[in-house]
Amino acid sequence: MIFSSPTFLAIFLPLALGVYYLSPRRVKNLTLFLLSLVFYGWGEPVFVTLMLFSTAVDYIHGILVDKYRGTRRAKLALLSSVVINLTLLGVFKYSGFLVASLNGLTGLSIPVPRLRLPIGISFYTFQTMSYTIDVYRGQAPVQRDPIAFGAYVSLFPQLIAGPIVRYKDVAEQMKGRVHSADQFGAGAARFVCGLSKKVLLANTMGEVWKYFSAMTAPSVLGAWIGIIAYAFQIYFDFSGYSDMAIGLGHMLGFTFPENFDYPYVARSITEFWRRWHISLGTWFREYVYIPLGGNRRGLRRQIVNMLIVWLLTGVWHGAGWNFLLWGLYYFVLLAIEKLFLLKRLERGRVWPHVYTMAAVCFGWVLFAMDRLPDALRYMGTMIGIGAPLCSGAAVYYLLTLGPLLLAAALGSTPLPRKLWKKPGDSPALAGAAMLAGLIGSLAYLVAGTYNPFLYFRF
Amino acid sequence: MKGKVNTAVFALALAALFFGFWLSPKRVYSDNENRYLAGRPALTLQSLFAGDFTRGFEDWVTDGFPLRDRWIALKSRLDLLAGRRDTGGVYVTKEGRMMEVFDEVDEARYEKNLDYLRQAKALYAELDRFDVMLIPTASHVLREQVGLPTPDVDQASLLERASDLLTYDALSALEAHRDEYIYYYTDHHWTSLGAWYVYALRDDALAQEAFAQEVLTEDFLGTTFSRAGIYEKKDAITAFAYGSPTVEHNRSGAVTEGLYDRSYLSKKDKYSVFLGGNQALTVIRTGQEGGKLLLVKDSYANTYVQFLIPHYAEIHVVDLRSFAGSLRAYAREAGITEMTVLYNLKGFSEETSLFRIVG
Repeated sequence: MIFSSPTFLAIFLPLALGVYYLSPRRVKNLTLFLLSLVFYGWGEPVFVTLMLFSTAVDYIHGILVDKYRGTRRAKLALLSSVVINLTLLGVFKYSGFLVASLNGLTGLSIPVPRLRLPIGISFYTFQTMSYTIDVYRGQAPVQRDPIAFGAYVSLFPQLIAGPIVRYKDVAEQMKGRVHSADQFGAGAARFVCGLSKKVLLANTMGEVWKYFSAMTAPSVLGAWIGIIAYAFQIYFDFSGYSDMAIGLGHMLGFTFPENFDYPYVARSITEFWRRWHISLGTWFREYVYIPLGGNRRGLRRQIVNMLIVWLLTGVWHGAGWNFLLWGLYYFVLLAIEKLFLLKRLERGRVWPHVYTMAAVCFGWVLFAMDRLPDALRYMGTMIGIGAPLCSGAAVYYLLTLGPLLLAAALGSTPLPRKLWKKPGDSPALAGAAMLAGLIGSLAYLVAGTYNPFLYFRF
Repeated sequence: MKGKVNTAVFALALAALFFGFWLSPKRVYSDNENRYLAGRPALTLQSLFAGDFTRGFEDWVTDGFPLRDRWIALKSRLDLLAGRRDTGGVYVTKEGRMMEVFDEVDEARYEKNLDYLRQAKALYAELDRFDVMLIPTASHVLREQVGLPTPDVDQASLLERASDLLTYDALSALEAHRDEYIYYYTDHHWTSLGAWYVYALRDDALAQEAFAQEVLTEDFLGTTFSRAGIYEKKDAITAFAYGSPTVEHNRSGAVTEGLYDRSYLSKKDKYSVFLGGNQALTVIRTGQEGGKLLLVKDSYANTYVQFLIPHYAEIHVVDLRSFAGSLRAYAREAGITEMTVLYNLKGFSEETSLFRIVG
């Protein structure tokens, strides 16, 4: 089930909130666990068992790590957990890609396994791994209550598209949560804000991208409108989803970490990645980059560590060469910035923004197009190789979507939040804005057959 | 305070959605969408594990959403309010005209279909006449009414590629009258008047006065209305009647008087007043002198066929999408002397049944 669907809004959410609030305090975790299983099982009636298996594995390994703390057995238990998690991910997400690539490189013809990707597997395996690692490191308490642990892993607000909530972030909250009208109200507003971002902005931008990316010969202007629309689509889609997750979390008494911090206002790629999908960046930093030595073992080792992290980040986003290339692309940019560019960027005013956004847009071309020749052709059009400057279609979309593009551009900056701070303090205005967002989103949801959720691929 | 208000608003909204859905009466059929709406799925272990139950349930909720048509209309209004000129796949002009967007063409399919026509032309070479008419759609002929250059495909160049087949220059004829009522405001078809201007290209065309004009309805909301859920003005459907033909449907022996099935005037699908909509086979006996025409067509021809009455003794109207059997054998048996292929260009470029024309 996805949040931006009539079934979730009109059926699941009212029922879930009703049941959750009617449950006595001591069974709230159990209620949450069961609701989350229904939520997940709704779309994945078979793979729900896989998630339960992953949960059980880390529940048991956490206890083992704790029991043998300080001995070699603890290390073995940790290793076993990591291996099992990565094997699950490897089999379900990467086996097809690996075998196909191997066939391509060697000329063999091993049958390519065609496994369907279980929704959210990249997110929940990372969450469960973080738990065992944190217990091993003594950074998180062991959880002996299987219900509480199960509720943590399967927590429906962030189960399928993040944020990646590390166990230590919510360990206390699993024991007991405060539920208040203020928190619920703030959560509801955040949820509707995310829903509007997804439904009103991201989906429309997606249509524009679909149009221009399918064109055999877009103009330069058209190619730029297309990729800018895609940049907005992916940002509002993903950050909208995070807003909905954080908002739902609030409604259930949780506080999840933030996942986006206006990435498109960044003045360097380094800054962009501090603001984009923060929970993933944090995960790779804590569990890969720092354990590899981070920046403490000299520049050369640091660059190698960055390369490893960015290749992994690339393929985390999808099992495909384009994602690997996309990760490599960011590694190159980040390394250049680290070596000399960052200092100059910090002195600039306008050009660092232009450079960053242009680099991000070219990156999205790699990300969005799974065939390299297509991506290169599209990039060629963007810089004017063999394409007319302008076309009727580009003018049409620029003019008719102008207001929406402008809204998306403003919505990518902290400005709306600043402007809304004062009027938003009025309960009546805040309530009215929320209702308007909900009604507008519902209109588009009910009308829209066009409602794909980009992040289900990961 | 603010938290309490937000909580109350959100909780009430969710409750309204929840109870609204369960308590609202469920429609079985949607006139606007011309389809049956999803019903409540049956829950079985098998349907649950195969995912059929949950998918069916989501369809049921979406289709049965309270005030569904209002939500769709609201979406279209919001689109236009935000400055868009198209919504739900139709351009909306200032005058309230709604035209189907045609911004993508399946090149391979189009070429293939033209090829079938070329094969058919050779196959039926013994006939007195083999006319091909591909009618451009409103989004091209009336593109200037959108007020901006549109992303629509260039239908003129598509027609250019079929120039070896086309008998008449329908595009120029329609463009010359682009200020007249040649396409409906709320439907994707051309009007009888639009069809008349193309008919007038025939050497033996009769004068407009030869046909008895009658406004059949002024209450028509067609397919582009259905897509967007909104309209500015309703359409009128005019008949251009000639003589008193009889119409036989689908070899069933059911014979009706006249081309117009007026029972459709009280239904949503009023365009089906022409010939009673698309049928696999319709045989019109005109009561006039002349040859026997085989008309292979889509729904654009349902309007056009009025003008053919004076010219043929029999018109055999075939819709390849549902026609079964050998067309060749049928044509021989019926003693066909002339053949006309008439499609709208958009439909033709998407058509997947043209292989039957050489069958």
